[in-house]
Amino acid sequence: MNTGKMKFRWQTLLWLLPLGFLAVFYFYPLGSILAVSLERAENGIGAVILEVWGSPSIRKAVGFTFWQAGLSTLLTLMIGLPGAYLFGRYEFQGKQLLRALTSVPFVMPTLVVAAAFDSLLGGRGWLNLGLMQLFNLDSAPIQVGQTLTAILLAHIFYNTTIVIRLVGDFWTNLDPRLTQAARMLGAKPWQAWLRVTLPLLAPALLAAALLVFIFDFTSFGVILILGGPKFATIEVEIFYQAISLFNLPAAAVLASIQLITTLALTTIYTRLVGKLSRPLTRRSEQVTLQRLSTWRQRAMAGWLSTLMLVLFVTPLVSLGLRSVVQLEPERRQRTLEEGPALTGAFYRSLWEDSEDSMFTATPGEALLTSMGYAGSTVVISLLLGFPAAWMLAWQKEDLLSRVLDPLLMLPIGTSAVTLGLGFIVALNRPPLDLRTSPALIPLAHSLVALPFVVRSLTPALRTIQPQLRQAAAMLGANPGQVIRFIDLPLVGRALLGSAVFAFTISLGEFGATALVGRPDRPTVPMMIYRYLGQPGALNYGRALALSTILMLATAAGMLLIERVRVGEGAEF
Amino acid sequence: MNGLEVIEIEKSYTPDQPVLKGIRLSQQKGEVVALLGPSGCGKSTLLAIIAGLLTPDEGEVFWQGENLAGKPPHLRKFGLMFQDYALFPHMRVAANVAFGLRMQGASSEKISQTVSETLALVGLPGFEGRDVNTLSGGEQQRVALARALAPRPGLLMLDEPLGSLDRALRAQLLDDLRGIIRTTHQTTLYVTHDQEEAYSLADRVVVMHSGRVAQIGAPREIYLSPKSAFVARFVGLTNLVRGEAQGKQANTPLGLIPLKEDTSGPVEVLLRPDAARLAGEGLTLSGRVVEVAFMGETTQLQLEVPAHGKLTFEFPSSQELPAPGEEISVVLDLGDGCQSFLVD
Repeated sequence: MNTGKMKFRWQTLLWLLPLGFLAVFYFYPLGSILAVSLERAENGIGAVILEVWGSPSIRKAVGFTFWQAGLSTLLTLMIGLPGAYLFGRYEFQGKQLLRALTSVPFVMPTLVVAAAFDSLLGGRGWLNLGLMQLFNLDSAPIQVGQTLTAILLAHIFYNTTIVIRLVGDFWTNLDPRLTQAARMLGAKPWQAWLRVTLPLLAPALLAAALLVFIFDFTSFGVILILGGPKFATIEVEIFYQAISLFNLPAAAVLASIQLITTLALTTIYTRLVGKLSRPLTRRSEQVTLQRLSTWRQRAMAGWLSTLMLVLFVTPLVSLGLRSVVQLEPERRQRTLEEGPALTGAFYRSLWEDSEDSMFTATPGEALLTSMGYAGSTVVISLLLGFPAAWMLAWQKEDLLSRVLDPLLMLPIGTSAVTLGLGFIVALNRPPLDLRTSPALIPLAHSLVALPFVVRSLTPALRTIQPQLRQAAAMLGANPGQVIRFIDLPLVGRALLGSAVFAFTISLGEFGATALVGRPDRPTVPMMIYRYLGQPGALNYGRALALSTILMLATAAGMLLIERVRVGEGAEF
Repeated sequence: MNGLEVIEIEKSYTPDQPVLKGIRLSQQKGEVVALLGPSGCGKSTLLAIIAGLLTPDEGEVFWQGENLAGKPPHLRKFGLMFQDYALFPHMRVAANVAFGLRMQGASSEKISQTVSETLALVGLPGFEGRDVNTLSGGEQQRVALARALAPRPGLLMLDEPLGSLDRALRAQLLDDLRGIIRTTHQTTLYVTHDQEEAYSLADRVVVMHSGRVAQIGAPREIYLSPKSAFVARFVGLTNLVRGEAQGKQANTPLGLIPLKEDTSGPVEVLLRPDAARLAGEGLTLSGRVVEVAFMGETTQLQLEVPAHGKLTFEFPSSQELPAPGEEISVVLDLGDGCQSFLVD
């Protein structure tokens, strides 16, 4: 029919914008990376592989990437599983708060997390300076900074919440009567766990493990700062090759390895998430959750909550405090004159041009730059994300939507460093010469933000059922009032939430920025990275002050999102 | 006319499949009417037409003598409680309940007073500040009811309001609903597929069957004298025996059965479940007991009668009853004859 055809064209148009964007700024750059890698394959693809494998530094980086990701994942599971059990099976006071706290690390920018751990365990952190003060030592006694331990701790801090959320939520809806049935049939508690609970949890467990592995595998900022030159992963090696050595072909080969591995892992993850929706009867929380009744349960809950509090809160509190306390002597002084003291000097100095600064911009200017980029990211990602989310919300069963939905999610599984490299390789020559354009950073950030924007807009848009409009009309609202009181508030909230999301993602983004950012106009994360690498109490203080501002901005953004959220949470 | 008048409503979504065929019904002010019918009989469509959410192809709806044709839903001053509530997810309970009053431009004191009164009426005092997304099913149902009631609608329409709740909760809410409707003398149109709900709430029941009104009457009237074999079956009277009527009796596989009214032609004869006795004089049926179901005051016996099939009868539970598998004979006390429905 005629109307059917019209509708089809209209839908295609809505898809055109986000698709065109992905084609130009995602597929074209990644394709260029692969092309550059293969250009060297004159003697066959085997030559490239042999050449890469022949380089000890690259071989080491690839090996270390897998090793640290595997180890991090294992440790994260060991910490996260008891937490998932606590959240999935028990109801207790302060559960909501604890749950909210556990998700704080996940949303924090990598540089904030790296700076937080450095402020706690690093050479100039609380622990070392405290011990030095206490025992009158000349050098830092604990060498945690620039070790594998620091990297592992930061990864656990980051990703434990994935295990708690994915496995815990699954556990919450798992019918306890299945285990009870096993017990009634004669299974001992551990047998029931092994034969019933574990197999039922397995898909959730595997999915969580894979997701954690992917994140650890592509981790960049944490390893760059906490690992130092000793520990290079593929990501860090791409960065060195591209920026320090300007060896783009080598970087491209590494990025290809990265791409293929994450693509394989993401495919497995998507399959597993599909399996998660196996036909289990989901039980309401009233049935599955029990109160803490025995002293053993209380002790377990107390111990786990304390552990989580220490793990999730200490580094961030340490960062905030360290940014307002003078612990080290200034450059020209040998010791602190009056011992540790509260100070606002680090924050005040953000707007000053320090004479020993190697930058053309002050930290204050970097803040403004970052906000400008974040604002542009919001505009771009909403302009692209809204039509896509609209289509996904209303044309879910449409063939086009089913094909394009996973396509939109691809950038999540791609490392930001690789995206940045793709921009450098692809967008520095005609027809698209954006190498010196200030648009490059917001474009890269929009690519990172787009999947999140689409995923948080879609369910919100879906809550606007025609019934709500009818209900309002039945209650006497005229068509104008229906738009004003029903449509606008619902869409408006969703838009606001997504905008804040995109804004905070852009503010904290470091991986892509590290590659495409312009040195004369640094963003806040770039500034933090540089200051952390410089000597001097003031530089360190400035890095922590900037990190604290970023942390608070992110936290405020997330709180706002929580406040304006409507209906179901984001779908992942 | 001071109530609702529905005249010859026709509606079809596709040309060859009419959903409503000449619906005609009327409702007095203050009366509670139930639209009863199996799913797909068109009752929700009829409700949407009365509400103004759908336009009929033919026919008219009058309210207090006024033809509502062309009047948009928000000006009709009717209340509609949706099947899955349609609570506004971005508003708290109070704002949901206040919505209709706000649209009327009521003062804020009046609004907050009416909201708390209405919430108390539906059994949720003090729920004003709650987030509607955290309410249980029963609580959502009550908030939806409060929202529909608060603006004092001329006609309150409820679309399967208890459909998605579990059994125990349904009984409780049904009780409360009846109380609320009675104390407020609210003119109510109640759509359901559940005859118990319809019987316990309504002054009159409109039974619908594939787009037509099958019967209108008081609950007792419908149960005691269904007008068609469909209505009989739908209200749970399943003992229908095929036969050939000639005057005041019908020739059936079970023998000659006396009829209440003169009829001729192929019929289905209704044997009421309370007609059977374990001893006495009259038409005797022999069969095997298939099932014995204790219902409280009465016990249902299902008999497999060779000439016909299964028939279900009720006996007082106080008497000694046969066990499943026993071959027994029952005697039918048919009074002044059975009801019969012509087969077309």
